[in-house]
Amino acid sequence: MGNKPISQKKLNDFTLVINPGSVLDNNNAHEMVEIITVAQDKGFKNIILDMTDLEFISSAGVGSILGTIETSREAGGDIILCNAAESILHVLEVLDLADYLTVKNNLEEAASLCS
Amino acid sequence: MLIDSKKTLVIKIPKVLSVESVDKFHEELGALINQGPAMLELDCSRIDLVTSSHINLLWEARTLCLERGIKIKLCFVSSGLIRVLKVLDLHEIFLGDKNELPEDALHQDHMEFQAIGEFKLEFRAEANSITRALAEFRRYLSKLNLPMKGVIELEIVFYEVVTNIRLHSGVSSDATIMFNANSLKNKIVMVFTDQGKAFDPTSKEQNFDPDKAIKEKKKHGFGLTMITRMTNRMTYERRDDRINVLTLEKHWR
Repeated sequence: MGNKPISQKKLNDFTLVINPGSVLDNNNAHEMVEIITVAQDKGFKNIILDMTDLEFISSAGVGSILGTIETSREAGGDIILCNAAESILHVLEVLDLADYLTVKNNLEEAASLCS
Repeated sequence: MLIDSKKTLVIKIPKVLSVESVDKFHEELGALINQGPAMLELDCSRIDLVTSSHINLLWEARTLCLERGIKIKLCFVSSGLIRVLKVLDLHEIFLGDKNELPEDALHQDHMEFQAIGEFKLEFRAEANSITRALAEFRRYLSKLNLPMKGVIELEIVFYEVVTNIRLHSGVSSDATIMFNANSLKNKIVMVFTDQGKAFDPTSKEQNFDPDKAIKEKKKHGFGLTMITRMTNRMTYERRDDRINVLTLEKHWR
């Protein structure tokens, strides 16, 4: 498993796309939280987490998402997950998060919620 | 001990590896090696349940023989032993070309009753060591033909447990975490041992509420919930008031 770093790109004035890389665990969850928090502070009410490369997520990784969603929702936006592998979705299912997260199949579908 | 005309000697691997039986084996092995055979056959017919100790014994015998220029060969190898050797990437070393095995080598099949792979790791309670240990564990799991979701869960359980030890047990980064996994027919048993402060995860109530966690912007504290939900049985023991032994079982249908 590689160690692709977290990356980000602006989709529009209110939406930032973040790619968490290949691993989201204790080693980089705090970085993830910081990137999301800074983006929210800058007015990006929508955050799309493009999980194309994500192979492993720990509880800290899940926490970095759960702990920042409400801020986006309070601003009228959301944190949207997309391109998640079956293994990642399974972790979210184990935690019964399906009803509480916005998950889309791909970036296009996620972006359609952020226009 | 048997001797044939081609100067091939045979030694039986003991069925049960007690201190006495291993000592006796070493004694007999030394005596055989001193006879300078061209080949030593390790008779594995008595091995019912393959353990890491059996593998260690085979490895020791191989090393001693190679040092003396003696070839070794396994005979009466059960499919369970073959599978364990494959899991450990030792099948080429011990078995070489499968066709060279005696015809009866593959006939025994005790898989339903045998361990199919024991795995041990010792690593430091430090982030990079944990990452490497997880990679090793992943490599082991990949050879067990487990369901994908099961593999993911086991990887996460492993990571969460050792990360909890690293972050919350008070051990230094030089402290050692010991891990043992044993894959049986319908389950895998994992044992984590550390010398951090006592923590009994079985005594902690699990009442994870996703809605509440999101509303309260909670970023931590999901690890134990994941461990509990991804395993079927958890037991904890504090030994000698200094050693934590956490045993987790994951069952397969």
